[in-house]
Amino acid sequence: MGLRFFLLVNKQGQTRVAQYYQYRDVETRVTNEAEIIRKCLARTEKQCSFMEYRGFKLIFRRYASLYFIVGADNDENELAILEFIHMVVETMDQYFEGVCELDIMFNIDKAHFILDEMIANGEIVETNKTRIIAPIRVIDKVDKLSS
Amino acid sequence: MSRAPKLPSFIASHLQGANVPPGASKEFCNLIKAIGESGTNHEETRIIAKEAKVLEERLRQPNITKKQMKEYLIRLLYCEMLGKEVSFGYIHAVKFTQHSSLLEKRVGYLAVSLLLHEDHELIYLLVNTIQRDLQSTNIVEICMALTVVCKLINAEMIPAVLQYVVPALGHSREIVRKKAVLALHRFYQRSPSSITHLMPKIRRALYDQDPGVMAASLNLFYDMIVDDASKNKDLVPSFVSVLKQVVEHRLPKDFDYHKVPAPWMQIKLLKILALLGKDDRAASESMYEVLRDCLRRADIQSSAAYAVLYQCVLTCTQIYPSSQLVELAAKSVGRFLRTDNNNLKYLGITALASVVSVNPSYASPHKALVIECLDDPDETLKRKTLDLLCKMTNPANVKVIVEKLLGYLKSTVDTYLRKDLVPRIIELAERYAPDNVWYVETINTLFQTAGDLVHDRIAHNLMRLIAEGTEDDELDAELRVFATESYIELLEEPSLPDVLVQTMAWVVGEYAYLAEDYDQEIVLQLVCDLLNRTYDDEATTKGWIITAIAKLVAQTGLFPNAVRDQLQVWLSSVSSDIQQRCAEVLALVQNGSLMREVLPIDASCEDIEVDEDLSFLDSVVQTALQNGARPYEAHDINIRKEQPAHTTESTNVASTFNFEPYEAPQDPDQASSSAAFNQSIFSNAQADPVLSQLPSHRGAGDASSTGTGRTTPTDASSTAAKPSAASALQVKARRWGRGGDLVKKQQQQAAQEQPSTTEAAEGASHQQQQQQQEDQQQQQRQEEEDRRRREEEAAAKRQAQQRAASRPMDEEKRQLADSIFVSADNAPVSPRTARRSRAKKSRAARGARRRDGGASTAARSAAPVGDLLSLDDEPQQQQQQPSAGDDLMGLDLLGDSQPAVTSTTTASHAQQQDAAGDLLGDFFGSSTTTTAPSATTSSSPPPPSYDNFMSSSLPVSNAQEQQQQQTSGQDLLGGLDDDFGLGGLSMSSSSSQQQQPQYASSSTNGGGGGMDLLSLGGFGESSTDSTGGGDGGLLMPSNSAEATTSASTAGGDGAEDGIPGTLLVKDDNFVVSYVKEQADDCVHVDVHVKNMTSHVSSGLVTKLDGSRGLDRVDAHKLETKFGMKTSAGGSATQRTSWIAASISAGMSIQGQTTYLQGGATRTLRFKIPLSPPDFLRPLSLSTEEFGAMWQSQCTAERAQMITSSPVTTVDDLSSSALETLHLSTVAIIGAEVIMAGQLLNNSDRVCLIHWRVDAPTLHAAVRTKSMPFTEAVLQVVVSSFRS
Repeated sequence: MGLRFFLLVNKQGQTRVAQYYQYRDVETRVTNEAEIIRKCLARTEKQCSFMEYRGFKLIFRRYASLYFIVGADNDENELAILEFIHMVVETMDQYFEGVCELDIMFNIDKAHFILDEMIANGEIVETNKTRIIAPIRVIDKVDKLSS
Repeated sequence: MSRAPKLPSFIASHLQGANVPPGASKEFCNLIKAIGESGTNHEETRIIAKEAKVLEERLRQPNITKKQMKEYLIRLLYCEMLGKEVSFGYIHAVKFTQHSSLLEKRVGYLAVSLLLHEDHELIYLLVNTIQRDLQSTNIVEICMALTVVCKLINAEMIPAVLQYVVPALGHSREIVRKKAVLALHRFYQRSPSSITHLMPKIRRALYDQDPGVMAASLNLFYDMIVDDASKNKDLVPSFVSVLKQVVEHRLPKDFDYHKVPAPWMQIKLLKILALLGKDDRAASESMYEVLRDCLRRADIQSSAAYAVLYQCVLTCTQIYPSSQLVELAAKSVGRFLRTDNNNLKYLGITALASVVSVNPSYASPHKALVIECLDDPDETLKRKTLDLLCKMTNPANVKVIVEKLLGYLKSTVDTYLRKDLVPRIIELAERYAPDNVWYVETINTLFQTAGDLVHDRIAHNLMRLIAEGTEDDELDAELRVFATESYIELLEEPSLPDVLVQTMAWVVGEYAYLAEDYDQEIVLQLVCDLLNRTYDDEATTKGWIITAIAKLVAQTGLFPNAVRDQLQVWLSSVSSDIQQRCAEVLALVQNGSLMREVLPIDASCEDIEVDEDLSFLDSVVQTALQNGARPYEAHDINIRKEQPAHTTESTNVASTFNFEPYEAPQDPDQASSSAAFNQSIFSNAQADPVLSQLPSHRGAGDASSTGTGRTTPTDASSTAAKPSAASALQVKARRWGRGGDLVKKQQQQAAQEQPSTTEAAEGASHQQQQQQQEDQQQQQRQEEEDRRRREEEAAAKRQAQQRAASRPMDEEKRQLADSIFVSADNAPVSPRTARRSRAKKSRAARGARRRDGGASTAARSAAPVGDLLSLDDEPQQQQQQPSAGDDLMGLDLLGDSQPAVTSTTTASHAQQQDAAGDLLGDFFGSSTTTTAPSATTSSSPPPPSYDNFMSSSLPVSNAQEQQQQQTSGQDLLGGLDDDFGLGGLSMSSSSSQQQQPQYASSSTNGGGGGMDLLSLGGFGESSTDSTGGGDGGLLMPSNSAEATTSASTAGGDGAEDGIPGTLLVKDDNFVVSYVKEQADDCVHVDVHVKNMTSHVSSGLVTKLDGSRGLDRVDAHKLETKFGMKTSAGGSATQRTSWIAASISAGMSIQGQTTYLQGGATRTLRFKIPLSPPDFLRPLSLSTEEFGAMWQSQCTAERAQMITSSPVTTVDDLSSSALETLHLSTVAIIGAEVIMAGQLLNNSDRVCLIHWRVDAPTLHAAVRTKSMPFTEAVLQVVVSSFRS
């Protein structure tokens, strides 16, 4: 309920980050992701960033070559989710000090940590950048000290 | 993104700016590189497969370092993300979480949360780790554990984990609290009952100082409200207040997102409010203001603001509407629609749909825009616009809209969309069809396009419509002709869905004769050809077709050989239903007139009379028997026909065994005896409840099985077996046995006599048998036909009823929108008035229900709201005082002969009297600063003080909220300004005393002695106009001996001067004092006037007026003036007796004594204060009675916490309460005491108090039947028990 998944998929259809809030097995996930990215790629700039898909909604936004796609239930506020996607990007940008696709690929764990802070139980729970990044920085620092 | 050359990672990262993690192994980098560079899916799969193998190998090695393991886990994640399952790695992930290093643990947790799912068996291994981490001293570990809990805990594991999560709710760090609330949310999602006992804590989270925690709780509340809104209606003010604060930028700056304060929080709150305000007028009204504010403030050019605006519009239109708000909302919608941005247009359309549901006229200004959207190439937008149109359909525009919908249906292949569209089209068509012809057409098109998705009953309705028609015969005929002709046209279509074929078959069969332009024979042929096609539901559909053929044959009298051949073919169909029908037709065809009888023209709506006894055959049977035919033997059950399992309600299906013994065998040579034998057997059989039962022929309620006409017998409701007599006549009168043997028997006999209607009777019994069978069949067919028809009708009727019953579901929307295209006035009246009126009735009923529902919810919520409101009123009133300095509401001013001062009124005239003024000025000097800015007139919700065990009351005042927000040291008084704003909610100042109701802080005001004025329980100074128990500090128990007046000198105990009772006022000549005496049924007040002069008093008159609510009960009660005579140095007394019709806080008796002196009239004014305890008398109740009254009757409650009280033990409390308040103790339970008192001797007006002693704090909750009473008592309580 609320959000169903949060995906980062690139233009070639390769998934970079995938978080699911309802369990789906691996094969289903992969096939769905392929279908979804196809639909997103088919959209032009002018058209809506929202789509109906299999009984729920997709909201997506393109940043360079990466598509950020969120699957949400029908009663969600689409624009809010769109802005949330932007907030995620801003947060990652702040954390990585300028984020690019490679960053995410190399630091997929950190990307997940960030998302974990922001989304829980399929709902948006934290949108304050400082608060999101703080715990992750703590872990980083401790890790650096110990190594 | 350029590809990395093979360089050491730090250089690589430096060159590219990518943050390659330090310590990443070469392998890892290679993997990433490879994935990044892979061009095709195929290649990627190959890479991943290889990787998985490598990992599997590696993980089998012993001695893997932590660093390595961490990396392996991340690589495992990659594999799964890209499609390869790596279950060998799961256990390693689980083990990794047990490491103590933070990052490693976190990675471990991440891995398990991505790789596993909540029902995975390995989760059990995790639970232990989670439990340990939840108890860790390291905050980060607790947070990690809580995050994982939110992902992986299922219902079973909740108990194991819950106990560790609960303490986290009260953790000092806000991040932990926040995550704990999220964990509770998860628990709720999996098992709602698991956290019901934690409701108080959850509510506390809503009021948490930290906005993060509060936001987290919103999600949980949303879910709970979705499940049951009524339980949380009392939180409406809280949500309103929170939203208000957010909207007014009261959160710390880092919650802002592009200048919009916490948009997601606002949106969540708006959603919650929408649910709570739905259909609830009172709740909605409390929201209007904040919604207006929100709408206004969101009016900026930023996406986030648009999102909030959109949600706000939705909320405004979903709650009980306020026309002003809806208008504002509609304006905003206009803005959305006019943009170029498709996203915004999309939202605009959705919002417009919502607005239109409240007020259809708002759509017209945007006609053009909407049409544009409709034709937009963007599919999403188109679909949303269709949604909007569906909501706006009316008889005038329905044709166009449905046409559009059908067009859409034809062009799309998306199954979800089709499933969505079909019911909508049907609904619109049925509801708004301008005429029947159009309806039929539309349904036909629908069938053709999406027949597989259309439910059977639609078809049945259609058929019924055609059959029944309306009162207008001409229209009916027209309709039928039209329908028939269109179906005949369709007969040749290549692909027809089942339901359409069925409909067509029926219509053509019934009404082909009307279609004069068509050659009936060809029609017949075409129908017959339909048999050759394959259908999804063969038996049913073909059954319909065959019946249609039968009808056509009957009507036209034609029976072409082709048709006959076809039927012969199908005679051997797998389905017995089809077989039977074919056989029937073939048989019936033999007798044209019979067939016509059986299948009359246009008689589908007529009832069929069935002669169940087949009495017309009686004579035949009799003759046969007389001629020696064997009577019916029911010794074997005919299994030629399947028996449905039904039995009628009236008969019982006891057992299928015949428990009656057979009679002794007799000599079989004797015909009569054999007959008798047979009969007796038969009669036994008849006695058998089962055999004599006739299973009901009524098929299932599902009309779709009408076609499967089960044969047999007629109604089982017929008579039971007749007792055996040798008469063969008995046989014929007996009912059909199971399997119809009886009839067969009859047939057998009958056939012997009568020439069969088929070929000539032949001698061979075999042939006779055959004939008899055929005859029998014929009879049965006949019966069946009739029955089938009846069934069809009944079923169709039933279907229609079911539909009518289910229509309420559709009509929940209750839309009749003005048309975008055409105004509704131009709409033709639908001839289907019957349907419409039914619809209207159910709509009206629903409307009534909703109104009632609304009313009842309003009533339900009225109570608490009422309380809050009443509470609100008072402080507000007081706030509005001219802030000249004090708002001593109760300030009763001598010299102003104001009648009846009650606590809340007249407060405005805080005029000070002379000396009194000074005194008061001192008293309340410090309060001046606070009273002025009683700015916060709109109340933000009080965070309930959860220390108050009577948790129901939510004091409303802002004041308390302010108090709560402040850190402890802060005085109420200073707290009014912006502190409340940012400071209060900032996470840095986490005052642990958040719940401290700052009641005591007004002690500065309270102090002072003897300011008895205030016994009028004003809600004293406090700017914070606190709620109940107005903490004025100005309350003095009036029956304390220090009651003094405000005039002249500060009083002391009058007894000092030889004056009886308490001094009221004195001057040089007279001294006035009073004595109160409490009787059981009244209070006696004696006013003494003592003459201090040296001569007789002249013109000494005392006037007494009781305040509102006080009544005199003495003999002279109608007189208010009393003349007195006193001699020099003497005194006079006037006794008056008083009762209180209603108790309020400021009761008093005002009086004045006038006398003449030196030609002038002098006046001494005074006021005798009365307080609730004066009128209270102890009341003895049992604990049960107390409880009952507490719950049901005494619903006006106020509670207070007295923070430092000299009373420290329950016994002390009991005795002092008895003394000061005249309440008797009902029971003492541990540290709690319950007491009860009654108003004089009126045991209906009770006052109940519940105390809790928690030295040095004292908690008191007062309940009576009326709020003023309660408040008054509480004031006294507070003042009496405060040190």
